[in-house]
Amino acid sequence: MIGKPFFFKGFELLFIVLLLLGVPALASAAPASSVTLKVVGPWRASEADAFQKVLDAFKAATGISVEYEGVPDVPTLLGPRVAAGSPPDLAILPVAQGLRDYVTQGAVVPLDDLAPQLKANFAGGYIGMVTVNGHIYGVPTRADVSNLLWFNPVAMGTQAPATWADFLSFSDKQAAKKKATVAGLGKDSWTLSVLFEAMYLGTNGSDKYNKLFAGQIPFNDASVEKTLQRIAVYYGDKYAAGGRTGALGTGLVDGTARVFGKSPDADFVLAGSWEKGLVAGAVNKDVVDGKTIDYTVFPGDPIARGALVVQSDVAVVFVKSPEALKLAAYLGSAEGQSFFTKSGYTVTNKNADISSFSGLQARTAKLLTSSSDVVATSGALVANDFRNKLIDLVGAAILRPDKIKSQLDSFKKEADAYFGN
Amino acid sequence: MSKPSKSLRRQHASAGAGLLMAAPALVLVLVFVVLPIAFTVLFSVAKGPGFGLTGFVGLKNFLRLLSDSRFFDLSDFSGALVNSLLWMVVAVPVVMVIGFVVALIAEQSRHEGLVRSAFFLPMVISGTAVSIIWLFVYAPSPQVGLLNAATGGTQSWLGDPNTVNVSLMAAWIWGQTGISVVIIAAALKGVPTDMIEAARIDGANSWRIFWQITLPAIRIPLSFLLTTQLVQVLKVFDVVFVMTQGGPAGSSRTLAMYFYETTFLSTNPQYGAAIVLAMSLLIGVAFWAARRVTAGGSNAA
Repeated sequence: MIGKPFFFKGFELLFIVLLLLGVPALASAAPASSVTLKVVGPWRASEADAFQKVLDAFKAATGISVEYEGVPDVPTLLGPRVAAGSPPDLAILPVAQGLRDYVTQGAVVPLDDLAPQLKANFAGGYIGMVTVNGHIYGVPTRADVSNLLWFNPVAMGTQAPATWADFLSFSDKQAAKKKATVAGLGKDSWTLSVLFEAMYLGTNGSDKYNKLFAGQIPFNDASVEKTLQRIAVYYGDKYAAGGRTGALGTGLVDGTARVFGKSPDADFVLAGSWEKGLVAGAVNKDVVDGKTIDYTVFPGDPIARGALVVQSDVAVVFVKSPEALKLAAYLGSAEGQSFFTKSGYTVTNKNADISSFSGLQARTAKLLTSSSDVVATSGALVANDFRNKLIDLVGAAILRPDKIKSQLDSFKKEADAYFGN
Repeated sequence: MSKPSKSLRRQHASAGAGLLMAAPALVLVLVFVVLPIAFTVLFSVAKGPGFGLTGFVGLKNFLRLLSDSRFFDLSDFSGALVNSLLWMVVAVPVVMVIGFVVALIAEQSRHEGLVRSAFFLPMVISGTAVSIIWLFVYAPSPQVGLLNAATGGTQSWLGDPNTVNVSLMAAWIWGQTGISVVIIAAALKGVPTDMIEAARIDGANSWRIFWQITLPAIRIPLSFLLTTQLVQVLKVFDVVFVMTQGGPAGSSRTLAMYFYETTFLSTNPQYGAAIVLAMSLLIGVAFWAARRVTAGGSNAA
């Protein structure tokens, strides 16, 4: 038998020594993890690209890989997966939709351990949005303000209405000239819940708003009646382009075009902070911030001046693991959220870097990160079933304002059944 | 005990081979038809939460249908059930009548293929695309909406409860007439010309020939068309979902739309199963009625 040359033996020995020394050294340089977290969310295309930057940074910091799946309809996909016992580790619920349903089902993991970090980064109103039955269940991620009244300052020729009284005064003047002021968006039914939220908050303030959606104020309360009456005026025949049926039959893009298109026939459209993107992308790319496009917080009574309705996508953990909790924590951190802002998406973390924004977006970013009088959109506060009924109620109030009282009495029964009152 | 005869063994062997060959199809039917139906029935008598099954509630979900104003509101005769019935009694006859008229006109025309193709073309467009096209027709602003631009009106076709269902049906009919034209045109080709000639010689006018010869002769294809169209309208979802999402104030909500809202948006598949089973019952009644109508035609003949 021919023996191996000596240098081979030496090489093998060196290899073993390097292996013994090197592997732990490599491991400490970039903490490896065999776990790959699965995340489902609503972000696709450019939003998914922005999220991928967050995930890449997370992997660089922790060594944990994340597989992200962006889907057009998160609730539809998630429901069966949760029922089948195979939910993703973490999901991004668009505008926190279904959060309370999942808490009721016991499908999501409480994140109370993250409370100190979240409280250091988010205003109390935002923590309240992800708190159910005294426990934190979500981490706010990218967000928008939804109660903004958009207008064209040049075409309007006057200051935007700051209060409901200002709105009525301006709209009456326009009506006298046979001009409509409001572009409705009622065909996309979810816009009616946005309208209810903006009007209820503006009329009654955030305290009553939160109580109403917690079942502590009955739905036939005078505050709701007043809100619906104002909605019926706002989308009524006198102020809305095309009258009440026109307001209910006009969709998002068409309604936006009624204010920012080439031949506008209305002054205002109620929409979220994303409206500028819609205008520039689908209606009129030539709009200029502050000159031909601007917004003000939806006009209400002085009690609610400046109060915001915030639509925040929320990260929730379905499968508890140290890795999933680490990801949830990272998504809520100033560092994680700054990746969103650098990609052009607004967040609510008060420590996030918002220096990259300009124009109206800078104003929105500041509003979101500095406001404390904030409430969540109804989709985050009540189950979809109830919200869908509320949308029907708003539509019915617009069509038959003379029957608002009886509609509310009837709706109260459904609300009481839902809230267990 | 005597051995089975050769022919009996051969029969058993061929039955086994037949079963083996049918097995893939049987498995598919079991997985994609039988099991979903069984689960739907199971869901309808169960309770959640969500898509889970934690217990049985008997007929509670079905009883809830009776007091659910979004399903059926007796006070003003509205709700998803009423809207779906409206689709059945309006949209289906219109599709069939238009199909008939176009097929008869096409038969007389020198450009039969062209006429049939023109009506069949929308069939190749998906329901979602059809809906989006018709959104541009119905938009209230005359700057966008073709219908208001053409008529100079300001009608909100989809925002007015009085016009929304008819408007949706028109869009659906535009997309569905093609199949009606093709089936009826093919059926008309099968009508024996000697019978028509004989009737004409006997002095029958065109109307009598149509009622007493043509119509009975195409009874079976008509029955097929009627049944499939009834099922189609009961399942109608895409047009409603894209164009109105059941609004305004639920005035265009159909059973299929309500099923979707309940099951997926409200995550209440148990109640959704009850809705879809009620829908299936309606389909059964529609089948029966369609058979009665077309059998009636046969008796008349």
